[in-house]
Amino acid sequence: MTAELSLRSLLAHPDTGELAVISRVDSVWERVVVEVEEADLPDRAEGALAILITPAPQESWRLEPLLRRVRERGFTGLALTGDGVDERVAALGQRLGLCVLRSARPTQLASACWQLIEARDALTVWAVHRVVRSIEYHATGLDDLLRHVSGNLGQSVALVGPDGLLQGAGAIPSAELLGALSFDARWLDVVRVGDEFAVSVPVASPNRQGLRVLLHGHDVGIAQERAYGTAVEMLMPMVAARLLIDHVDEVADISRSAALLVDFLESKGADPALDRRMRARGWATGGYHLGFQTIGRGRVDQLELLRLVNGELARLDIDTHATARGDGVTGWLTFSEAPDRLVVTQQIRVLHELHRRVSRDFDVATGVGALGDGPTGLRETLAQASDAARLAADRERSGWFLPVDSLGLEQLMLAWSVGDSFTQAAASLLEPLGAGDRELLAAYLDNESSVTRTADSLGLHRNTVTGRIQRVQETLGVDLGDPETRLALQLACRALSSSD
Amino acid sequence: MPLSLDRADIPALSHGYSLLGSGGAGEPTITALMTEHTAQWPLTVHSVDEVDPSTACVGLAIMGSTMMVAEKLPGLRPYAGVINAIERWLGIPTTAVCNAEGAGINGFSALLPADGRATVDADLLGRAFPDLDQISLLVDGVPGVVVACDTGPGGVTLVADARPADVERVMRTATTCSGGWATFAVGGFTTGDLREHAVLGGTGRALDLGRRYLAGAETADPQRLADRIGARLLGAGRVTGIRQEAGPRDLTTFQLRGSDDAVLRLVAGSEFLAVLRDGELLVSSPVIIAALDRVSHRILQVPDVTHAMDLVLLAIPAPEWWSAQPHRLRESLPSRWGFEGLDAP
Repeated sequence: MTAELSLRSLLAHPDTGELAVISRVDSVWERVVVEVEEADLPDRAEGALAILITPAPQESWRLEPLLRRVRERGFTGLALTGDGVDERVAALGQRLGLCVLRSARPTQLASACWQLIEARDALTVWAVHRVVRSIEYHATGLDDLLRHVSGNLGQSVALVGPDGLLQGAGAIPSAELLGALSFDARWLDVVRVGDEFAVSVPVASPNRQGLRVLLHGHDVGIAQERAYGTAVEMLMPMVAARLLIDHVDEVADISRSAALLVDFLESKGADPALDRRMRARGWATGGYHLGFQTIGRGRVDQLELLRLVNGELARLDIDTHATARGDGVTGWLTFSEAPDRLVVTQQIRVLHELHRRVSRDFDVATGVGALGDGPTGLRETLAQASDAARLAADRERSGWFLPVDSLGLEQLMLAWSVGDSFTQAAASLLEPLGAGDRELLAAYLDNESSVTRTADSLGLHRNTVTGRIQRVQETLGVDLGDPETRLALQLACRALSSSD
Repeated sequence: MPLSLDRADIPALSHGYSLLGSGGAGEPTITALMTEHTAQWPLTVHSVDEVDPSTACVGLAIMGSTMMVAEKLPGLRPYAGVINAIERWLGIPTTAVCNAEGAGINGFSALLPADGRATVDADLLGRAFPDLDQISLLVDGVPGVVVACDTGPGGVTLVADARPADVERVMRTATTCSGGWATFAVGGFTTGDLREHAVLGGTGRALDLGRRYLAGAETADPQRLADRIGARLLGAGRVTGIRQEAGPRDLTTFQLRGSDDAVLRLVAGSEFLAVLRDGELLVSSPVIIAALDRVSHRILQVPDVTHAMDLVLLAIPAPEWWSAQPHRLRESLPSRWGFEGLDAP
């Protein structure tokens, strides 16, 4: 075998038959000679590595002269097998300038040498085969896939973005190595920092831009670098596909959870099927809940917002859930025991911090409901959070964050709506209606848009109520099916009645 | 001309015999004391040429564990029983004695009072060796050799005309019966036989070596110490590893980091057998290897060598008798015990 082989690249090879370095003399060998025993070695082999297949003698007085004779033939490396090859010859190896190695399976070591210096394509095929075999194992997500690849290949794998490491398996790449990566490189990029190396390619993903997948590690030679370069090229489409699959899974899951939340909020009374679905998702309705809602103050990517909120919630050491709702994200914190006032205040502070973190990336407003008990309490706190979030969207002074817990929704609404400018706006809004229609509208909204209950409360017939509500809508030019419209009108009715 | 020894020669003789012991024949302190206090000074030691060649002679030594000699001290006439047994077997009196192993604890064996028998300056090994079948008379196949050995209080075992290997086997068993060490005597030969079949001049050699050693006692430099003694310096260094080696006999090897960074390996059985330097075999038995503590110059026995000890390793030429004929050399090389790769060229 001829070419160039370093001790580093040999040590980085994944299968060298349990190679151990007895005497470390950093060497680069131009040739590897594999023979059954010493007598078969060539008389001269300058700068070569000798691998002997027959177990070395155990006696020191036979082993040491063997080292000397091999060195005298010009070899600078000697790989032996056998129990007798141990630390006792380390000093002599150093003294002679002979790198002494021990391999439990010298034929495997010879094969590794062959791969590294004569059959680099074989090494590449081996690496690619290892990557491809990773598909054989079921992966639950990208993390899992990266773990399989790392395990099969014996190298570390990472997915990085311009901001740093996103996911990985194996060792964590150093900041220096990540810093040296070129995100401009259109295809394979090879980086060496100290004794670390990384080969990376950009991930062609429609849903995640600007990412690179890399294989990285320590102490490899040129041959491995080439092989891993090809391996990472093979790995990239797998990663891109997995990102897409994970994305689709995530969207589908969010839509399922959002639908479940809607079903829960609209449910009345016991619904065993719904309870089962809730439990399956880990949503316990028992206990005490603190709801919150984060909505965009402009257009936001709801999926990204939810991903970010979920990421932040994962840092809390409390039972939390979140899903998409409306144009924002709704979530809640669950306590198994009734938390005292202090704990609730603390958790509101935590949610405020979460809001601040999310605000760095998105223009959002967050409302927090009051503590609720059981399923009903959960519905209420989420409803309050939703209302509070809409109110918070107009509250720049409070940092677009509004908890209702300390005030009570009624007082909050009053506090918000009492003011000259609001009262004037309310009067202007309701001005086209006569006093009777205003009373009807207020009652209709107070009764949650229920025609029957409105009719009962005013002593009218249901058809009368339906007709008059229709007229009110036409007069004001509004759609009472829109919750925001309903809220605005209800506030206006309250503001005017309190100013009367 | 006979060699005349005085009481003042005892320290030089002791150190000389210690050097010839190659780390295995024991320290001669006890036998030197016995000689000092029981011999008629000055002592006369005859060369074989000065004695009638038909003189019946016995070779004397203690065999077994030299360390146990300090625990179970010999009597003042330790060889009387075994000499008696040999004379009874042969039916003739013996009138001369010589050393069976002129080294270590046994160097003084022929100098102890022997009921008027003359002391002849010849010995049957010329250095320390572990096995009885290495006795020169047996190696050369001299006929009629008789060996007797203590087997305990009053008991004696005698082997006549036996194969050398059987002599070793039977006498080793007798030594065990005797409690770890025993006196033995070799008879059935004359001083004339010694001229051809023994190492001659050992007492003179020990005296000379000992005097040289004492003259160099203050020498700190290993090379100068070696030159003074007339030995070859094999190396000097600190013991960095001790290893029990696999092989046909128990061997211990000591790894030394030489003061010149060389890697030395000292191979030892009962005696120091060989020295390797940087993987090259420098010397091996029958060359006599002595290990000295570098600071105190104490001549060390194999069990004395421990981790981190600073040693000076010296090679003292083997008696020429051993290399004069191929069959003798064969019996003195490490390969006689089945060790491969230890015979120095």
